[in-house]
Amino acid sequence: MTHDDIKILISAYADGEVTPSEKDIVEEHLAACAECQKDFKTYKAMSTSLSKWSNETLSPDEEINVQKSFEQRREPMFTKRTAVILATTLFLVILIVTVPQIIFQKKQIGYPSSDIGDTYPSVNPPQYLHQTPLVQRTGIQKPMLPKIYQPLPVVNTRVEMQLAFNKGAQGRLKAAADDIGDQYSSAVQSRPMQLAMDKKDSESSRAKYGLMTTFASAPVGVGSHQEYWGNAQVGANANLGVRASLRAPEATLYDANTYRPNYWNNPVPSPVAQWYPVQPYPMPYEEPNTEQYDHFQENTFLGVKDNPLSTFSIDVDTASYSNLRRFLMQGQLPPKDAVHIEEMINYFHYDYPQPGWNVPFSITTELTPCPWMRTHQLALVGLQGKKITLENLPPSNLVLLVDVSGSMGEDDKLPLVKSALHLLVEQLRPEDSISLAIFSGAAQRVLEPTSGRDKDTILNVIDNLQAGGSTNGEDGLELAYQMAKENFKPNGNNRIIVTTDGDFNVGTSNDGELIQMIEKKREEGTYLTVLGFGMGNLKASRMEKLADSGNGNYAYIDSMDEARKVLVAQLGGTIDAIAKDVKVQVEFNPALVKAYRLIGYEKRMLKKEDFNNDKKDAGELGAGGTVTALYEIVPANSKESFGSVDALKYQSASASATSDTDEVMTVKLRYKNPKSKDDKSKLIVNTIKNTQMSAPGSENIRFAAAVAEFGMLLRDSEYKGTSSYLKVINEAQLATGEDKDGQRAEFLDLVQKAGLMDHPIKPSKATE
Amino acid sequence: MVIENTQDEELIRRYYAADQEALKVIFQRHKEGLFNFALRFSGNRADAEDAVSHTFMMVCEKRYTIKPGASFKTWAYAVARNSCLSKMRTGAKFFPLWSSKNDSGHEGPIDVIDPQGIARDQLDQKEIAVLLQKAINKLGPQQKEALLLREYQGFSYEEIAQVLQCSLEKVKVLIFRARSYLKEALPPVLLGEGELK
Repeated sequence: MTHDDIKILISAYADGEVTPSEKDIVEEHLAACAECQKDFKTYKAMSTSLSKWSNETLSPDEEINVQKSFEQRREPMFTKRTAVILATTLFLVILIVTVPQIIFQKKQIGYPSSDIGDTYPSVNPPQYLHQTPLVQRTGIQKPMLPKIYQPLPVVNTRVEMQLAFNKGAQGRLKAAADDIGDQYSSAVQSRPMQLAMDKKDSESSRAKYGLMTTFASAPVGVGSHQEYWGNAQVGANANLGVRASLRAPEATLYDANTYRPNYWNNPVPSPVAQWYPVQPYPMPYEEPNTEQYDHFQENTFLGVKDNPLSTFSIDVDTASYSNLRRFLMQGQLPPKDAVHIEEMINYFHYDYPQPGWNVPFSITTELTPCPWMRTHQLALVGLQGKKITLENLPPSNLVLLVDVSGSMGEDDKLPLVKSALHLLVEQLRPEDSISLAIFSGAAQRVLEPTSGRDKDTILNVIDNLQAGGSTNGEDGLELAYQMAKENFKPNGNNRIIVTTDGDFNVGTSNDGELIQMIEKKREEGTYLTVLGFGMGNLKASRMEKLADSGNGNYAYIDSMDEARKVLVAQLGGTIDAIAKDVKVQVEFNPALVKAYRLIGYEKRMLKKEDFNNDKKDAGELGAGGTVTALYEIVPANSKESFGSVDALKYQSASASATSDTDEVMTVKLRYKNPKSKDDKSKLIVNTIKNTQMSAPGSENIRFAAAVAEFGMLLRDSEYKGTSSYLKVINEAQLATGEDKDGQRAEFLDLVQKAGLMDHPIKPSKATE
Repeated sequence: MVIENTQDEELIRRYYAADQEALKVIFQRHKEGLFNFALRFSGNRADAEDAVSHTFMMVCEKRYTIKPGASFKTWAYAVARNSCLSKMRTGAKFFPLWSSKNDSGHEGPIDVIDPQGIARDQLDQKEIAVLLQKAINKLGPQQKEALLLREYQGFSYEEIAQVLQCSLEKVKVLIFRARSYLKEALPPVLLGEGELK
């Protein structure tokens, strides 16, 4: 037996697992071999040490679960065979139920009802017609019939039309109305024929508004010449940008002398009103999707000679990214106007250095070749807000304003709001106070300021919220500001947190007026955070406008993960601002830069003189937050030309004064301390030098560039250059960094999804 | 109580004869051992709980056949081990053990700086456990399993051989190799050099 064999035996001997004969050998060897003696002792000591890793107990919940399953599962429930049989049966049942439905649905034309004022507050034509069935549906609603209405005997329209045109004046009026594509209004008439309307007219109005027009056989007043109600109805609708035209396919024959209905000559009374949609626009029934996104133009290249300054306000919103993630997860590409590249870039956290002790944020700059256009360069400006641990946050005075209108009743709205607020409340400290107001048809206080100590009280109130009624966001906001003021903490963080789907549709809730109100209130030192929930009725642009004008931020919450990110991981940033009115101005050196383009920030552009104007409001930076901006730069030696303005005759065109510096651009930042009373801004200046150029650049700029490329692809931007989904994946994969939260991994997943979906239909070559 | 001292196999036989109480006794008897074995083996609380519940599900489905020489205990540990392995293979999320207690997320195992230089009395129970866990996690699955069954479950080599479906000789070697590795990997204070408590 070799020494190695004995070594193995010694381990077994320590466990008392040797045969008597082996035991003798081992004991004999141990007496002689010091090395093995030591091993033996080590094994014993090891066993003692190992026992220090103590047992844990099975959680009681799990134990109960297992025990419960004993009772349910006395016999094997699923053998493989029963499972297969069950699955097959289920499949067949589903098949039998769904197939006829699908076939039936195709044939069906739906008549959903909705309320004109609620869903379509604006008179502008909608941007997404296919998504916005809007008021044309309202045309299908039966109008309120006046009391005098009675079903009348009818004859063919032609008779009536004839009568109308025989009255020369009316005929001309009608022709004139046709010319301007307008409704032939009967307000000026004293005859009942006005209800008839030319088919051509109806088509022109349909073409104009792209809406479905509804015809109805018009009931006619009895007894008095003045009671022609049809025109009033039409007028009202026309004000709302809608054409619900009325006409009488079968109208009443009137007595030529009295213009009263001739009951005697008319044959059979017709059925009452017939309502039917115009055939070319059958609308299959679907939930109205009334999401709205403001249209915007992407920033273009600007020549440095004419526009040496680029000025914008920072943007810490991230909602666009979570919103487009929702679209992609549902297997749909997001509408172009829902894609805001800066919000996508700022969704991610970048690895910038922490600021020094006397400034609230650090500035990082970087220059690298542009990945999607090799002749261009890409410059990055990154801000990192000072991290503040939760313990160091000033005491908060939070007012939760919860939208409990009927539209919030869906699973992804109020229930998610409740869970999200649970997360928030769990983190409150005793010195924080929180109060709660709700709004639906009217606003109401439900919780007076309560200390973070009484979590149970707060959670109890939150759990009892129920959805119902209409939405009066204005009243709600007003009440919330009032409550915030009553409990104002002078050195604390006074903030209103609104949770809503953004449909502030009752009250004088013109966006402009709401914003004016908020702007007035923010002077009092209360901030506004808007959390958007739900889908299908999302008014992203409005929510963002509200938050921005209220010195606050807007986040879209589509899941508990997102709620955790906004309300737990970045709570400091969400509810405490460390710098406000942060503006960035970049001056480019014409000796080195020919043109530049700011990527994203379209809604945040400022005039160059606004930069030094402290009265001009701008974005806030939260604790620990990062903001990143990218510039695509065309170097001065490029052959591309931008803008076709002739060379200026009287301006000195020479750039000689600056040509000897290697500075590409100078970044200037202005910010205000949100706590200080004086409203003076402070200035920080930083430069980017040509010598900074590095390829391929840090992970920060590579990842930000990949996100920007993804955004440009989704927007189908004209500047996307050589970008492709595959390229984005390749680039982002090499720049995922530490990725603690898995956000960058998720990004890769989304790009892949979008890549699979985005296949523009090209005209097939066979038809050429 | 007679039932408390009854053999596992006898209890199972009673359970198969529709005695629910017998199953409960079995469960109480083995839940701790199975759970801790699975926990140490997989390093993941959720997987360990699943393994326990999976094992007893198998019992309920009467997958265990009573026959001489086939111990219930070794069968149960083999089932639990397989459940853990299949979880690990499917690439299920791998949380470090100590973040299972606080659900806050990113708290990995506590970092001990230079364990070699720390005197034993400075290490508290939890730190020792982390050191052990780190070292044991680096063992191959079979070595790990054999060692865990031996050190924590007090299995005899014979029983370990049954769980692993291998020969007694192999068990000896596995345990020896595991210990040899730990001898190198663990700080000397845990191996009896210096004061023992």
